[in-house]
Amino acid sequence: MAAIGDGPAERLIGQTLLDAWYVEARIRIDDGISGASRSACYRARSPSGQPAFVKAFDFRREELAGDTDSLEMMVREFNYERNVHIFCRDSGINRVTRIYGAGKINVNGEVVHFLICEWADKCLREHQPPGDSNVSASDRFAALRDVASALAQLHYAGIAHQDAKPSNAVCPEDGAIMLADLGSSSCQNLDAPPHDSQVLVGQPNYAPYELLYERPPAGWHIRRFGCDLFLLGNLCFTTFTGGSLSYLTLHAIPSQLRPTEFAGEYEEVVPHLVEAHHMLVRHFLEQAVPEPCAEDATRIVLSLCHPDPFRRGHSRNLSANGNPFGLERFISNFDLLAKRAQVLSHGRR
Amino acid sequence: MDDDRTSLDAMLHARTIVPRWKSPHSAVEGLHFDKARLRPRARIGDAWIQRLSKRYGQFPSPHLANELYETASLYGLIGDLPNAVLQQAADHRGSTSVRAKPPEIYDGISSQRESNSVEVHEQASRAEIHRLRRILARNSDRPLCWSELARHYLIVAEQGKAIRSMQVALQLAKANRYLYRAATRLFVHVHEPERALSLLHSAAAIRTDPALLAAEIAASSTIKRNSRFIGVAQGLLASDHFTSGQLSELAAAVGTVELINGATKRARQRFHESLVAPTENSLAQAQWATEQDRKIVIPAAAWTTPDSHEALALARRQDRDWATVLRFCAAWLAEEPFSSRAAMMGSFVGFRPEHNAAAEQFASAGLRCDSGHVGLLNNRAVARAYLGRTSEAYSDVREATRHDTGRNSAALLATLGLIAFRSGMPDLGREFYERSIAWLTASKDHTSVARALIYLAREEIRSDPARTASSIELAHRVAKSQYAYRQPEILGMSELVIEEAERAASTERTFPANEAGLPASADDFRHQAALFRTPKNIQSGWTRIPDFSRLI
Repeated sequence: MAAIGDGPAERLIGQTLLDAWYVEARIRIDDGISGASRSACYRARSPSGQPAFVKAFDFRREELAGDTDSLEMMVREFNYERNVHIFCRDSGINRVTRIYGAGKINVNGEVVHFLICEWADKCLREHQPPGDSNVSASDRFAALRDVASALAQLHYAGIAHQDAKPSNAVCPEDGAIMLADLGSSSCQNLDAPPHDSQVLVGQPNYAPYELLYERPPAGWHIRRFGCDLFLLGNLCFTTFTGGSLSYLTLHAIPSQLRPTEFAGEYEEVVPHLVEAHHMLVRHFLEQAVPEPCAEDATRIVLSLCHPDPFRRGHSRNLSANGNPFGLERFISNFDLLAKRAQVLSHGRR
Repeated sequence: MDDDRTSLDAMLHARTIVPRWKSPHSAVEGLHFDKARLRPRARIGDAWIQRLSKRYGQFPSPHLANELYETASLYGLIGDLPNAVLQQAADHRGSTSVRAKPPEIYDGISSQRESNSVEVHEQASRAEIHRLRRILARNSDRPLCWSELARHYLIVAEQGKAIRSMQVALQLAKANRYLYRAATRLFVHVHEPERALSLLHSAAAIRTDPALLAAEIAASSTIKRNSRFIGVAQGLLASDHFTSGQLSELAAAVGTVELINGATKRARQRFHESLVAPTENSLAQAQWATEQDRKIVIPAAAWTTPDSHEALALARRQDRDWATVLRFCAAWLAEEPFSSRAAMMGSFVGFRPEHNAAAEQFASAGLRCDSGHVGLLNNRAVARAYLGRTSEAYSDVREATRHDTGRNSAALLATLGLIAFRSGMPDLGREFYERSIAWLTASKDHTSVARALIYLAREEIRSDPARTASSIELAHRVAKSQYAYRQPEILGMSELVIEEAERAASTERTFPANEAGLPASADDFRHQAALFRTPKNIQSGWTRIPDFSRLI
């Protein structure tokens, strides 16, 4: 493991948090969104042997540096992440890693704030490596169904995740795949965190195009649920092919239209992105997805990742004045595809 | 741009900077933006690359390397990544299905590569229509496919289908500048400029987007109306929010309005602004403007603008470099096969024997998109008569007569005279020419009189060697007359007449008679000529050529 800093948040090993969670090992440090919420991550264990994920925040570093703006942002990010986890727990959301507790601890005279959440051994990226042909299509579709269910639960509670990607879908030892890391989320029922004012909060190579072009649609729902829909579609594409759709598409269009070159209106690029989707999605999924499922998978990705956020979503929802961000039909589609792929693999055996 | 102007003079007299309608990938090539506006976007990329690099430092893995590579690539920062990351990302990609080279995205929209051959456009467009309809039947959510379908429908003269296809494209991609401009071109082409204006007025960006504003002003100019956005355009031109390239067409559009309104000083200033970083369309507009006002000067650097086929054709026409004009006309026609302007010019300037076949091809290409275009039918009849295909030439005149509203009857009568000459009926040909010239004289269309005289002189030399001397003298007089001013074709034809006459005199050469047989009897010719609505004073009797030639 690479050397990390020496702030108090990075010296929690051996401490017992909330009188129950013994911190065993450090996992990583995380700079948060644009470095606004630097945190250190640990694995802790309860007396009964239950593991937990600990995220410790180092406020003192900013305080000592005299950067009060950054300190304020960090505190607000911490409060938001804690509150949104508690809100999820209280709303009965069970497809997102649960919070066990939050608090503070004095480490050598310095206060460290922390969150303790449900532990997952592996993330989807490790459990089902993207593009790895050894993973069955059935397992992949089942994982996508679980992620879609988690997003649907969040949406129902008024929360947009905004950073659904292979490393943020985690696989507990038993049970369905869950979503983790609500640090980039946005919640209608809580005070807006500082990152709500930023255009792009998720990882850029998975992000929807309108955010990469810094042209988010006006309106909370279309902007944030629309982002989640795109991320789900991109997760579907990435998990099968090994490459992100955003990256591939933006390299397929002429360089003059890419976000690094183009400063015009996003609407001018949309038709070109649509064309690129039609050429790329089918081309790559036909190679990576078993033939009887490829057409449906293509249709799902094209619907979820439509470059125009107003045309994103299930075609039946869009045409029948239903909830354009509704994920129920996609959950059914993924479930059906998982079963179909399973039948196919049995047939082959 | 495409209205009912049926002669080259009339067509060249009026030009507006209605947007070009190119294929989507060609339209993208001219885009360029001020990079300073993109710096905040680059800063987001920097922060994410730092964050992912740090995580990769802690947990190097092929997947993380690939994520880092993709993110850096989105922001054009691959060069900043360590070799280890690049290698690991490449290994990862090599083991997945994204290793395969993706298809070119525009292969779906347009498989044909534009050819400068004049004859291929219609066939190629029919094949494209077939292919695009198959693609759209599978998935109709492709606005660029619909707009390309509309463009190909226009090339094969299916205007109704072109409009319907464009409406679908506009519905699928709202607020798209390319489609707004393409639709403007379409509606102006089908003589519905009001519809183009209505569409442009509905655009949210009409007051802030110079490209839309230029299209609006140009579309207004086609119906001789002053745009209500001229003030807004002046404001945009004075602002420093846009690059010279982005403002070029707007400056040319405003300059054209100023020129038409007689404000030549302001027009010169606007054209000067438009030529700082011209598009090929604004360069063509400036070349047109120089022919109206010689004080508008095109800087040499402007001629490096790529694909300036129309501007170069117009400029070379002034130099009477006919072979080059035809070459640029062919390239211009390839870019806008549905436009009659390129076909008109190509078919009109091909009067020299070595270019007659090309002229016939140009006219035929234009007629495939607009089968009732009287000017093109007349030009093809002339070219075919020169090629000795008098029966086909006669058919073209008959067809043109069916479509003519009376505005071109004098020109068609002269063409009938030409066909009569080439069919071995010089007396009849001379009579038709004389009547035509009388008619044009009565209409005070002296340029056309000069043109008809020089065409007649050429036929006289061919039919009667005794008239050679007088015809040469006439050619000299026509070339020196005021009516030949800015009429390169009259000068070129005079040169050709003198050249042919001198060659005939020195070699005592006789011109071959038409061997294809008579296209019609003399009575049929007279019947055909009687169909023209000749003014009464012309019908009753006409002055003889020597009297007309005194006009020159």
